[in-house]
Amino acid sequence: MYIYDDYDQRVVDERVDQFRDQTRRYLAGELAENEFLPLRLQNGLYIQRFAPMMRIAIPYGLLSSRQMRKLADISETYDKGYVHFTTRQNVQLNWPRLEQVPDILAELAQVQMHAIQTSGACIRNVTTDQFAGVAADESIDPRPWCELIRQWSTFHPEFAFLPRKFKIAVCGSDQDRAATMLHDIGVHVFADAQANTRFRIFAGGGLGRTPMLGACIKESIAPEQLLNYLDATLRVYNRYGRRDNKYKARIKILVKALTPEVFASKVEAEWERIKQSQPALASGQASAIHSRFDMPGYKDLQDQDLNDLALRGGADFQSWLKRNVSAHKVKGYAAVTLTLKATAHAPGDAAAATLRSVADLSDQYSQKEIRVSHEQNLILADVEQTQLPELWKKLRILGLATPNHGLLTDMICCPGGDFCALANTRTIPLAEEVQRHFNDLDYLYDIGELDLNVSGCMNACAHHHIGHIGILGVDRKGVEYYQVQVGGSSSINPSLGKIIGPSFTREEVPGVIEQLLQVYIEQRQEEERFIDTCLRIGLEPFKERVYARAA
Amino acid sequence: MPVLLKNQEVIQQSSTVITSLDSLSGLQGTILVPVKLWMKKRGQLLTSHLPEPGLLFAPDDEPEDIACDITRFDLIAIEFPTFLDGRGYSLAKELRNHYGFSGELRATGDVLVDQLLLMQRCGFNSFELRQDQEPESALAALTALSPELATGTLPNRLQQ
Repeated sequence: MYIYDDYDQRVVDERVDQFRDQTRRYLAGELAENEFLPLRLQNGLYIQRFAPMMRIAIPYGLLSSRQMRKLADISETYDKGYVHFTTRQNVQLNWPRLEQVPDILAELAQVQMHAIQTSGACIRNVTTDQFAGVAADESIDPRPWCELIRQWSTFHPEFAFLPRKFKIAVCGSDQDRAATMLHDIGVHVFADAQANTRFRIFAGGGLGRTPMLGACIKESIAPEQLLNYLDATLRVYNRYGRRDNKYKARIKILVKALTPEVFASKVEAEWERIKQSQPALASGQASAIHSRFDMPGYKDLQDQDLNDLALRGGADFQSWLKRNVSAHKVKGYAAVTLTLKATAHAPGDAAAATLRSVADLSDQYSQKEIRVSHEQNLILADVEQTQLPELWKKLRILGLATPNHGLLTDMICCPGGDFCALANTRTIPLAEEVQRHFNDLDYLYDIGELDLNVSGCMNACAHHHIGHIGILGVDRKGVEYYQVQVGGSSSINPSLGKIIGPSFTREEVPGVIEQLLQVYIEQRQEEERFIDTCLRIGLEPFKERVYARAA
Repeated sequence: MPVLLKNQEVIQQSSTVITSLDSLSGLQGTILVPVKLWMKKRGQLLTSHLPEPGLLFAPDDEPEDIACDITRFDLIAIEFPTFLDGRGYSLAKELRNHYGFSGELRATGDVLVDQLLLMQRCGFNSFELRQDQEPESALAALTALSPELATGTLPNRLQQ
């Protein structure tokens, strides 16, 4: 965890006081609705369909058990006793009362949490790989750099009124688990030939109405110039991004209109000017942030024979070990995913009791830390391999051991029409139908890795464009329909999915998915995953199967 | 009369934005020349002996276009047509940092109490408040965050 010092604490405390006064003035009629709007958005309060929704930041998805317990308490005191984990590693309360939000912020500040800039036309939460710092394939831990960027972006006075929201993701391994290519700015941290830390910068990625992959605008930049370069990029966007049309205001529109080359050259020119007047980051400053990271203390252990461990544990444990446990860079350790995707369980939701149980387990088994993934799951990242059987038994009792990580039913799903005023359709009932239909774990294992993403509208908060199977809710004359696409992917070779044809009713969707899976089973070669087969054979076989007319 | 917040004080001050070169005589208060007009009529404006005019930037004006003239002015105003249009913040930083403007940098237009601190941190040192904004609230807003935090979180905290 990043440990706050006095300065960091004062930042959140004073922000609470400032917002408390702004709320008071608004409720007293001294501040107009439209004037209060950006202030409350940048303190996390977004008015949704039935109630204000409050989005609390979990910087780069990392939480302490203490913070998780506070979330549990807050959900019971101020909301309906549960929270929702989002696709940007944040957490949401769905029913807080506006006048109580300053109190909620004050409680969050006590555990070094906040809701600063989680909404609004400003720089949002910096997200990263849920296995950052522990992934076996990682070159450099991106989290201290996420923290640096977070501090740079917090209260940045120049960028509080951008044309639109701005999202940054950082990754430190080739396997991009942070979907950086689908962000306004994606930062790849890597080690160059001399083992120096460098950054590759991508800009203009995004989903929504006009999905696009980011373009590389800077091949390699040194740490001391990272923030200056980000200032230059944001300044070009702030000055030249469109402000005439909300749907054309993201940076991806500007990058495309100028072309990535021209955009990059404008940023380069601005960066040259900024270098004249703004100092580079001193190496002491970057290492100060690194040193305030309280990294887990690892024991000197040996790797266990996991096959042996599996065989001693029975079939259910074996499934869980195979699906939900990931390799760790330190010998003798493992990372465990708790999928919040049980049948009839709204994806990403967690009750207060669950949060407390996970906090307790984290204290006992995982160094008092928990991660939140953009796939809406929780991760205990530092579990000793010898303790896996014991942990699994406890997770089972809590209903947190569904061995479906990475499978079809580990779907990403937005809150949809049940909560969100922007939605065309509900999504949670669809998720439940899919979960119920595909309840045969053996079948799911046979299918293997499959990303299913369900969005309730074109804003694509569930990232359906990059789902192996993506579903988009559409409104046809007041009736809920669902459009299906295949072939999206967010990892090494990102791709955007393609629609297979006309949309379906909710009842039809599970059958359609089954037909798609059937084509895969028939056509797959060797070790191909669904997405691999998709990319190899193309769309036609899937279209034919689903839309074939009876002979 | 519009209220100007400057040097922790509330001053009554009027300004006039000229739109053409006609009727330049007898103008009251501070005179502001829009950048676009300056670019078109620079020669005539230089010889017109306007009393200490200020330059007025619209959000889409380019400092580069009048780079050589910037330090000629003691006052530059930047317009915020709506407080949601954040281009003025970048213009302010550019004028201060790239072009070395050290005179009075004034925010004008839809200038509201809750954005004053952000503006100040970008280099504005005077603020022509929107008519309905309370001067007392404005002064209070400028001290809502303690100075170390108010002058920029990252640069400051890295100096600790």
